Amino acid sequence: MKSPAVVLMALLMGILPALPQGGGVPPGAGDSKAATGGARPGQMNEGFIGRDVPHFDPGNDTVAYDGKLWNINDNRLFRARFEKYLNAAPATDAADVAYRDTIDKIMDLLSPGKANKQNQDAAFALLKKASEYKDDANLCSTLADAIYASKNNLAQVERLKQENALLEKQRSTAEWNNEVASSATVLGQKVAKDDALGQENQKLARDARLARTKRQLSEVGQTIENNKARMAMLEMTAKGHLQALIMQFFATRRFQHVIIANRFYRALYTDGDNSIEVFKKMVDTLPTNKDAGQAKIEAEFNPKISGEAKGGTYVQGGAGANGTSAGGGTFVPSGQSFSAEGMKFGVGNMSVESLVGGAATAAQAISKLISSLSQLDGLANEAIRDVNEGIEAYKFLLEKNEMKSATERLAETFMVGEFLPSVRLLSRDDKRRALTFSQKSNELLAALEVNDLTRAEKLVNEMQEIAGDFDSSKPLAKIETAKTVSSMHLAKARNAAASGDKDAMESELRAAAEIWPRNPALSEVGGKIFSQSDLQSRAISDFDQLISQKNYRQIYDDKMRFIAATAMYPDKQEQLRKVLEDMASVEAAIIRAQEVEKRGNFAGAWESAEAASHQFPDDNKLNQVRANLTTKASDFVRAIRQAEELEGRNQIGSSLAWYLKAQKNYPASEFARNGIERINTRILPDAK
Amino acid sequence: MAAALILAAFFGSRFFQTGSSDPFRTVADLDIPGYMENANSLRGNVYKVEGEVSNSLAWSPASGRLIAVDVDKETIPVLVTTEFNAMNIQKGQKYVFVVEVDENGVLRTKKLSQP
Repeated sequence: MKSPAVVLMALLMGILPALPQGGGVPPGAGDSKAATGGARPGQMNEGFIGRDVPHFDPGNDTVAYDGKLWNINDNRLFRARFEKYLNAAPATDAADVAYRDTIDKIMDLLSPGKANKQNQDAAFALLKKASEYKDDANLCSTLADAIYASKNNLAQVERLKQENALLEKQRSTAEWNNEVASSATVLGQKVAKDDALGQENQKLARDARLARTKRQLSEVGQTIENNKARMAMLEMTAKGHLQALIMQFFATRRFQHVIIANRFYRALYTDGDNSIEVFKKMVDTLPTNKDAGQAKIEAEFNPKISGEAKGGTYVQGGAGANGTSAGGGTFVPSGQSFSAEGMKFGVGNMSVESLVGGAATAAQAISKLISSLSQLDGLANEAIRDVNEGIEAYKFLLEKNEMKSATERLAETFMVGEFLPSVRLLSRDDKRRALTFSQKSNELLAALEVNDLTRAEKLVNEMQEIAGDFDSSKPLAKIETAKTVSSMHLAKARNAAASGDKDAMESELRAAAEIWPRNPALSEVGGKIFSQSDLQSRAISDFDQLISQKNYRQIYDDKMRFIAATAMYPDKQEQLRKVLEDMASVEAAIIRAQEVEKRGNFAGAWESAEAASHQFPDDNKLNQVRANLTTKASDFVRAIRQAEELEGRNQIGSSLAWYLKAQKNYPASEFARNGIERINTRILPDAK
Repeated sequence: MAAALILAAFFGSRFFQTGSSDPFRTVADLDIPGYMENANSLRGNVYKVEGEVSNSLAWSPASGRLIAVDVDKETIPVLVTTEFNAMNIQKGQKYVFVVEVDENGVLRTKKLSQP
């Protein structure tokens, strides 16, 4: 559970302004969507504090703000900053030590019970020294300047008070003189009651005397009132300066500076008023047009006070467009009047996602949460305590080898207390362990984002080894699911390729690649499919060529290749079927001839081969077998050949004689029997 | 002298007796190899063939019987026309055929006798 200071710091880290204004998820911050599964959480509803105030959901480590979600543990900007910290050496060199000693000394001098005039002066003097160290980033110098300005303003107020005291005396004198002037007459001069002219002259003389004293009285009174207005404005200006600076310290998580500035503030302004109304009025005037992006702020504290007293309230306000300024008036509750064009804020829309613009929004959010400097002081102290506890928790978790929790605790602690000593002093060795886990976590996120499942799985296994508390179930579930789906798409691609559905094959391959781009089986299967495609094309080409050459033997010998290749071509399938059937007959004839030959019946073997060769005269293998058998059954073959030749020449008598000779040689000869029958029929057409 | 004449008469009568038992002695024998190689040159000629009937190949009431006759080591077909229907030609019997080579090289029987 994060403390309120932690949540507030999430806003002030300068990370929130990086969120898009359009409600989308930025490329680098796809994390927030991933963290929530893209669902709209209940926190998006109007809560009791509305949407203007950041809302932290500890259930999923997200901050809801302005209708958007931000995962505090999963942000590119934060990750980079965190890794930089984890790689940094601990702040233990002499300058770091001296700086921390100086800050501690200042805080000690200003601590309650010790903050007397002498200690305050000593602390003030140390501010200059502290600002000399790079870790301070000149913040102490800025604070010293603000304190000096406040002191000057207070001195000016004191002088005005003294001046007013003198003016009050002058006014009393003027009032006396006025009174005397109104009653005094010229010595020894009496005017009769019925002397109208004398009465008139006497009245004129009194008015003349009163005119001077009235003027003096009016001037003194006006000066006094003007001085009062100036005193109020000076005091408010000085307070405003310091309050804004304290807020800035808080916003930049310089909690020690917050406490130091707060203590100086209380020492300077002892009236007990530590409300931040002045600051609130300042930030409320900031234009935060979401559609136009975040504003860049240029604050100016330079009130111009008019000397006229008109007995009313003067308010000047205005809004500036891009790059212009917005004037904010102020309110004087005393009824005394002055005009003030102070507290100007220049607004420049320099960058939609500018950190400075984000700070304006953040400042407004803070002003709604905080109502007094005491509250801010408390939050700063709470943040320091929380950070110190976070570091202790991190060290303990390191001992337990619970790296996931340890890294999360350190990330949270770093987010709040990046500049606090306990964070800066953490040893590099301790940080490196978190760095390793953090890097692997980030790599895992990156691998999952690009669906590099092989690498993601490897990283999960590595993280399990280095972090006993790492829950691998979620990433492994995603990895396994994606792998399974990818494999299914690959299987479908294979089937589509086998059935010749090219569109489906490409679609399935694409789907498999999208789910798991570096799937080793993807290139293997894809390669096979495309290779098959290529082979298929070549096989079809070869088939056509062999058909044209009547080289059926080659087709038969490579029949498996052609069967696969012609699977998607029905016409070629039919051609192939016919060729294979014929070749089966040829093969059967060859086998039969060889079997007969084995029995020593060369004539019968030759006749078998010869019969097949009549049907398939171009088959080389058959011709070879036939040629071999011709030699072995030469007499029979010669008889048949001679008979056929003579038959062809119509010498049927001689032909029949040769057929009879062949039959004598091989009585079972079908050639001879058929020849004899043919000749018989020719000689005796009406034979019975 | 008488005995010599008797012997001469005896052997002379045997000589004439033998000559008179081959009724086709004036007919030339068929050149079997020549016939098998090319019968065209023999067309229209009449030859004598003596051999053993090895098989009956076909029979036609109108044209006669086609038989296979073994001559020497060859077998040749001989068509026994219908005029010899009265003869009971059987397989294994020896005959002397006077044949004419027709235009298709078929040996048509002109005369037939048993040796």
